[in-house]
Amino acid sequence: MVQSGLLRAYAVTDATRLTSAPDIPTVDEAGFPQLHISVWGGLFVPKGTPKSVIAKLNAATTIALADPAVRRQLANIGQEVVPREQQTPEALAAVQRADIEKWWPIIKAANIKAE
Amino acid sequence: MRRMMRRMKRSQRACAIGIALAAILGSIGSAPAEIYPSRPITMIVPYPAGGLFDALARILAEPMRAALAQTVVIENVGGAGGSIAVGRVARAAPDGYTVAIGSADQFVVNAAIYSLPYDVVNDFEPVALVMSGPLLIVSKTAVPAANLKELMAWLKANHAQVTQGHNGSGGHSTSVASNCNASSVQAGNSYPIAALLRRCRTWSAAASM
Repeated sequence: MVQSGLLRAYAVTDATRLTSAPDIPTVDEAGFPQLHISVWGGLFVPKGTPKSVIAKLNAATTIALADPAVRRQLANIGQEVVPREQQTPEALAAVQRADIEKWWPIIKAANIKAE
Repeated sequence: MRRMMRRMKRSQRACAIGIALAAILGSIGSAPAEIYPSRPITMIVPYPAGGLFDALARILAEPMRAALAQTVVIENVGGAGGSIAVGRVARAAPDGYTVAIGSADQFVVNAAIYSLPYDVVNDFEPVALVMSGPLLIVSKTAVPAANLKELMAWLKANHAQVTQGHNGSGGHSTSVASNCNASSVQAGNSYPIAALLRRCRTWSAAASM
């Protein structure tokens, strides 16, 4: 939509420009340093799920994400698969923890509530 | 006779303990992993059908089915920013047959803006990080701004008239957006604007360009 001229893109919310759209500046370059936001997706199961079951689900997920057809389909909807070494429970816990530390104080300070 | 009875009772008790131990050991020994998965797995998408996470789940379901030799059924459970869906997963049996696919919307933000009957950290086990990427800040070309600073200034001046798209998770994200606009854009603090962007995924829908 940006490439076809329907939308104007002002910035990418990351420290580095996108390889797929190198003309769009970063938020830092556009005058809003550190306005870094990433959208992540992950799989969760209820607490208490056996480790062996989590391992099986994780293995199936990594097999799916290694599939070239899957990567192509995800690229078509603008999504980038995380590197293999990050397709782990630990990496998901880490991004969740980092976002909690970043966003909870901001949301509370701005008094944002669901209505 | 009485002594014999006592001895029998004792041995019965020992036997009963033996059986109980066997049952406990048995349940450890034949962990669900050995037979998991033996029936279809439900992957709950905390958004209505047709959005980014619905697409993501559907793309993953088929190769996961092949890897697990079990059907992966996608179920869309929208509403309340995905907290209804995630609450269902929190209450599900911890057996690997109910899986949530979600984002910071459900597993970070909702805990700060809703009063949830579950804990986003302590009631779940992470399985895998799947994807991650930045947002693009975009507008339609009719907006009179050549760069991000001009866009922010224009938003500040026109926030009452500005509408924001979001990814369809419900009316609340719109109200969150207007809250953000009114309170924080005027305050001139860029970080609450970040909170606004986080909720209003026009920006993320545009990431697919």
